[in-house]
Amino acid sequence: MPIICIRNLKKSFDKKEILKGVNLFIEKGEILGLVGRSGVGKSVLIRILIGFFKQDSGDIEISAESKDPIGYSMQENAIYEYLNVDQNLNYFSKINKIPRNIRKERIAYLLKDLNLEEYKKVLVKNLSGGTKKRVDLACALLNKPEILILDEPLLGLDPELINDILKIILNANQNGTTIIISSHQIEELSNICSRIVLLKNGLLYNIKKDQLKQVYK
Amino acid sequence: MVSESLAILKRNISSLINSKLSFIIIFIGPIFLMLIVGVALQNNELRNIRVGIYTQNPEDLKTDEFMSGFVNKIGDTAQESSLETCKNRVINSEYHACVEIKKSEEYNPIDNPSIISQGSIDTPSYQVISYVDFSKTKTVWGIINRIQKVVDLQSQEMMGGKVKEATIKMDYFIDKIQTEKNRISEVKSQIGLIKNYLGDMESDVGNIKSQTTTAIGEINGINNKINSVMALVASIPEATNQLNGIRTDLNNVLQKLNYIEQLTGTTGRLLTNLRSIKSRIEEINTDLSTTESALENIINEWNNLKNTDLSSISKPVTHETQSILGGSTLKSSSLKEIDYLFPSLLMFFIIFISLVFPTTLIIKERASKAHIRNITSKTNGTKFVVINFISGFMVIFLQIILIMLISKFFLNINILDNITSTIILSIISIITLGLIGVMIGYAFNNYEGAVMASISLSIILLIFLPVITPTETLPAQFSQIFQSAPSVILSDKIRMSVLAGTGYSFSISEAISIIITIILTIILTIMFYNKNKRKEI
Repeated sequence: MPIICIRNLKKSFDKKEILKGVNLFIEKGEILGLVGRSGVGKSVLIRILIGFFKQDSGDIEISAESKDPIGYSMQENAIYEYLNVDQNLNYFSKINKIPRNIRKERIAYLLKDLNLEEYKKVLVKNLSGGTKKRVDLACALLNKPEILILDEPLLGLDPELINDILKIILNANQNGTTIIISSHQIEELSNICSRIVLLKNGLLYNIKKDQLKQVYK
Repeated sequence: MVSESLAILKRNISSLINSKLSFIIIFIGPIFLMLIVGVALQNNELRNIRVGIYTQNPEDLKTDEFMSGFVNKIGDTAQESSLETCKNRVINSEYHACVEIKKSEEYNPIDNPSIISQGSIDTPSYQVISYVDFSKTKTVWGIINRIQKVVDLQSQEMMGGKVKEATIKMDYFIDKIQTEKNRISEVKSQIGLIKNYLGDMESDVGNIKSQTTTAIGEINGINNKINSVMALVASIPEATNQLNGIRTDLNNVLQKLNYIEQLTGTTGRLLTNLRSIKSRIEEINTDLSTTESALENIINEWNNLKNTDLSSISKPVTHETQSILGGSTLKSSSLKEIDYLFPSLLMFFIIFISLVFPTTLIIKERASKAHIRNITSKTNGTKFVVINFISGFMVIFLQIILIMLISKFFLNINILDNITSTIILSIISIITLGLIGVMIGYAFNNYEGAVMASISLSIILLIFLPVITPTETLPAQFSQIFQSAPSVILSDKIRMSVLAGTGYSFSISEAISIIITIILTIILTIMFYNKNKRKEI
């Protein structure tokens, strides 16, 4: 049974229809690549999935075990620049109501797992782009999400940092997390995704990995 | 070169036009601000001045010419039965001033009922004391001027009465002097008569003297003849002749004695004349005594008139101004300029920071990239609104406390005397205005628009604070609106709490105004929050 079922999803902004009836079924443990030209509505679809936007019509059905199954990381890091790493993680775990006994342990684990321990007390604004992205990913992983949605997680990173981020993504996937990743980095996507879908003219199409280069021609 | 410059210019203008709210705030905002301020400040004359009047005898306000005239000319007045109540109503901003009128009856130089019955106005003097609130720095001088003008007008009218009275009293003195002058003329004529009587008496006495001398001579002749008779008795023939001679002489003596008898009648006239003289002299004496007493009276009255305070004629009404806080409250007379100004400065700060800080806090939060995690978190959105407001409130409250401490210990302002009330009123102000700041933060979807809106609103509220623009100077409609504005109400309350030690009680209308503002702001905030929470800035 798919962990996410999206049926006939529609969304318009200022009378312009961005999503014209998207249908998508994602199996548990999948790494789904979401591609498409800039402005086609990938971020809109992701924002609907994470609950930031509401769809105009259509259904989204999530079959998860936990009540808070989704973690996400946006193109721009959704963390507070004037808080340090620890403060950010604590704040987001608290507003997501992660129980106190789990919170401390989880933060310690993520700090270690994402190599953030040495930056624990550093203000985010003073961190490099790659470290900020790791902090953002740590925030996304705070609730041990069953589904991790990543919008352009590799944008602006150098190859070494891209590898670091990919390792984190793959590690999460190995732990059973379903991944939805939107990116223009077609090579990296080809390497890690089990399936790729193309968003074009408000509709989703399954494409093969070797068709990826055609998308940007 | 030119094309790049034009491109930059075009970019700036396009960016501005494309951001509709910024465009409205930047272009329409200042015009609106100018219009509202222009219309409101077109006239700085004080309107709707309400004055409480206190006098010891309330009936005087209706019957006394000066007092009734004063009440009519001053405008909107209310009679007060106690001076303290009257002053407290100024403290509570119900009146702009409390006027105490003291009537003095001391000036009464001539106690002459005939003068009074002639319609002479023996006008009393008046002392007008205006109790005003000096912390209303913009209106206080206008209010004092208004009262002074009425006092001057009334004083001028009374001065006419006083001068008339003085003229009547001068005429009275002249009449009296004229009477005494006539009396002196009468004395003069009496003295003329006495002179005539004395002339007659002088001639009568001369006649008596000459007749008596003659009689004495003749009697001596008789005596000689008798002696001769005595000698001739012996030769009798010749004695007959001698006796005939004696008879003739005796006839002569008889004639003389008759004349003396007549003169005796003249002596009677002399006596009558003397009696007349005595009587005239007595009359003269009486007249002179009357004149002396009259002159003494005139001198005394003149001295009285001379001793009369001339200023009571030239200025029958004196006017002095006293602070409403003098001795009646916690505050002593040692209030300084900064004491009067401080509460307004405190309110300036509260208005500005309570509007701008929460707006900035909210809009920064909403513009933050991390905001998306707040929206999608498990925490209820209302909690974010409430906690954001509380955060703003705490920061502002701490600032207020800091300002109060600095004011007390560095500027020596007596803020601590009524600190509880002042703090409670400050809290109500921060809550009321802070909520508006939060509402603006959620109403706008761009940073500059929100910040400009809150700054503009704070400027409007600051401009229309009584210390800058008294509501009394505003057109009627504006005056009504701003009088019931929470910022104006709270500003007044804080001012009087700091200066007069008043409490934090509100009238029903004031409480309704503040509560409605708070409820309306909360409703709008929730509305804007729900409408805009998913809009990215």
